[in-house]
Amino acid sequence: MSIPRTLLIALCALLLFGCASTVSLGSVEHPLSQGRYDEAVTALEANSKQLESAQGPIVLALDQGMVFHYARQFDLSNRHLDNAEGLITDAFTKSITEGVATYLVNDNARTYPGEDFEDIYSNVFKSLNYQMLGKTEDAMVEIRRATEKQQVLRDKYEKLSAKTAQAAKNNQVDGLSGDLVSIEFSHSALADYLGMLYSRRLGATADLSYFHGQVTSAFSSQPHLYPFSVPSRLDEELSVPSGKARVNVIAFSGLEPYKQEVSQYLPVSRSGWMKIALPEMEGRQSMISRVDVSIGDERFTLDLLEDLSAVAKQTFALRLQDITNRTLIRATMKAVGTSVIDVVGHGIAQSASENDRQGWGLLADLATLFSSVFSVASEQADLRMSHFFPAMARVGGINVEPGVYDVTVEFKDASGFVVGRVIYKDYHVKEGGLNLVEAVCLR
Amino acid sequence: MVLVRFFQRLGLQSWNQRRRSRRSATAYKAMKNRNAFVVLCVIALILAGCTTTKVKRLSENTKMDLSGRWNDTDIQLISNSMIQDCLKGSWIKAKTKSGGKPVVIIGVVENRSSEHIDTTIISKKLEAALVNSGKVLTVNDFENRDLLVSEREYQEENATKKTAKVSGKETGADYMLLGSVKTNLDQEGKKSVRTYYVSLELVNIETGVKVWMNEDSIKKYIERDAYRF
Repeated sequence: MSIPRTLLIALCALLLFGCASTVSLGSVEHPLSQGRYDEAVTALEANSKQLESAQGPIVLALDQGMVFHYARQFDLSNRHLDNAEGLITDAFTKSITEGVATYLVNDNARTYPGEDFEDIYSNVFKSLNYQMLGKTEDAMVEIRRATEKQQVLRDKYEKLSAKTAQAAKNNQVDGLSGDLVSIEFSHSALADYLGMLYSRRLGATADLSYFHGQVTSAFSSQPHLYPFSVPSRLDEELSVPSGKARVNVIAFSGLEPYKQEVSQYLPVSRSGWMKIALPEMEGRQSMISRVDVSIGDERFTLDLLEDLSAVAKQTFALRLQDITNRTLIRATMKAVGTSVIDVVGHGIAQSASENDRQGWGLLADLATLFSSVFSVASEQADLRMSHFFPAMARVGGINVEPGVYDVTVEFKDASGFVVGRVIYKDYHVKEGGLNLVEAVCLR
Repeated sequence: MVLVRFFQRLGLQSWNQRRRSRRSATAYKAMKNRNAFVVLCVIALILAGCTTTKVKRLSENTKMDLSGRWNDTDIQLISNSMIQDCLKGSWIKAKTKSGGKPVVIIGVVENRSSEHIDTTIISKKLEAALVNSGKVLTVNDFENRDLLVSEREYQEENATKKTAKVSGKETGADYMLLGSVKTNLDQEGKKSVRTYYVSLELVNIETGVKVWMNEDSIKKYIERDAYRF
C-alpha cells in the first residue's frame, strides 16, 4: 500500500475517531417529564448501545443509574451508579495515546472521565437508594464517600486557586484570583443534609450535630452557590419530641444543564480558517417554582436546599480553563499545519519543471484543502455528560403522631398551578425511624 | 522474514509468488480454501484466548491488594491482633454472676467507614476464637434471636412434651461485644493514604463497665498510575 493511501486512511480514521458525541434522547426525556419512569427505563435500555458508542460507558451508567432510581428500582440503580463510580475512578489514569489524540483531533478522542458533580451526586443518589432499601448504615457509607470526594475537590481547588493567584500576581493581573475563589465548590448541602438525617436514624448524635453544622456552613461559605436561605426547619431535625415521629420530604425537580458547542472561525491565512469549538454548559428551564406537601391535615412548603445545576456549572467552569487552553493549542497547531502544507506544497510546485508545475500546484492545492477541511471538521467540542440528574432539591420535615397517612407532594409553577403530583397512599410513619419520602417531577 | 517463512510453511504465499506460480485453477482453489481455513483457525484461537477466565486457588494467608480498599488481608491482620489481646485480658478470670465461665453476646460492630464493610466477619472471627479457647461461652446473637423463639414456640405446640424445649431457660450473657470500623482518607492526586481504625470493646451488661477494649489501625499507602498507553 502506498504511503499517500495509508495517510489518507489514517486521516479518515482520525476524523471518524473524533466524531460528534451528541445523541438524541427525546424518547427517554419525554416519559421522564411525564412521570412515566418505567417507560423511560425501557426507552433508555433500547438506546443504550447508541448512547454508549456516542458518549461512552460512564455517561450510560450514570443515565441508567438515575433513570432506574426514578423508576424506584433501587438495586439496579445502585448497580449502575457503582459501575459509573468505578469507571470514573479508572479514568483517573490517563491514556497517553488518547492524550496525544486530543491535541491532534479533539477532546472526544479521550475517554470521558466524568464531571466532578457527577462523581459526587452518584454517591448522593446511591445513598438514597440504600435508604429506600432500608439500609441506613450503607446509605451513610455513601455520604461519607461523597464527603471524602468533596474534601479532595476542596484541596484541588485551593491549590489551583493559590497557583492562579500567584501567577496573576507575578503577571500583575488583577481580579483573576477572586474569580477562581468564586467557583470553588467545597461541600454539598444536599449530601450533608442527608448525612444529618441518617445520623439521627442511626443514633449517632456527634455525627448529627456535625452534619447539621456542615449544612449551615455550606450556605455561609458558598453564597454564590446558595443564594437562598438555610431551610427554615433545619434545627427541628436535631431532635424529635418523644411520642412523635418526623416525616422528611425531599423533592427533586427539573433536569441538569446540558453542554452545547460554541464555535468561532478565524481566518488564518489565504489557505483557510481556524475553528475554535468550546463546550458551554447551559441550564434548562424548569416549570417548577414551588413544592407543597400535605400529610393528613398538615400542610407545609418545601425549602430550596440545593441548586444542582449551579453546582454542575461551577465545577465545570474550573475545568473549562484547561479545555480552553488545550483547544487553543490544538486549533493553532492545525492552522499552522495547514499553512505549512500550503507554503511547502506551492514551494515544491514553483521549483518543479515547467511540465510538472501545474500538476504539483494542483496537488498542493488539494493537500491544503484537505488539511483545511480536516482542521475545521475535526474541531468539535466535547459535549459528553450525563443527562438525567435533577436540577433542584427541596426539603422539609414535620413532626406528626406515628400512624398511617396519605402523603401528597404537589409541584407548582410560578402561577401556583399544579404541574406534577406524587401521592403515597397509606404511608406508615414510624416513631424512631427515618420516614423519608422522595418525590420527583422533572418537568 | 521469520513471519514470511512461517506463512510459507503453512502454505500461505505472497501475491507475487501466487502470480508467478503456474498451478492449475483447481490446485489454486484448493490452496485458497486451505488458507482460509488456517486463517479462521488462528482467529478462533485468538478469540478463544480472549474469553478464557483464569482461576487460581490462593492460600488463606496470601497477601494480595488489588484496589487498595478493605480486604481479606486487613480482616486477618485485625482479627489476629484483636483475638490475641482479648484472650489475654483479665476479664476472662473475673467472677461471673453464675459462677461459671464468662458468657459473651456479640453485639453490633458499626461500619462508620466510607466503604461497604461487612463487620460481622470480624466479630464472627472473634466469637469463634473465644468459643474455641474453651475459656468463654457465647450465646445466640441478636440476628438469630427471633428464630430460636419461634422454634421454641413451634416445639411447644408440635413436639412431644419430653423433647419440646421450653422458654425462659436461656443463658443470660455477662458481657456484650461492641465496636466500630472507621476510615480516614488523605489524598492528593494519584497518591493517597487510607487508614482504617477498628475498635472493639467488651461491656459488662449489668454494670456498663468496659472490661476490655482494643483499638487497632491499618494504614495503606495507595498510588495509582497517572498514565497508561
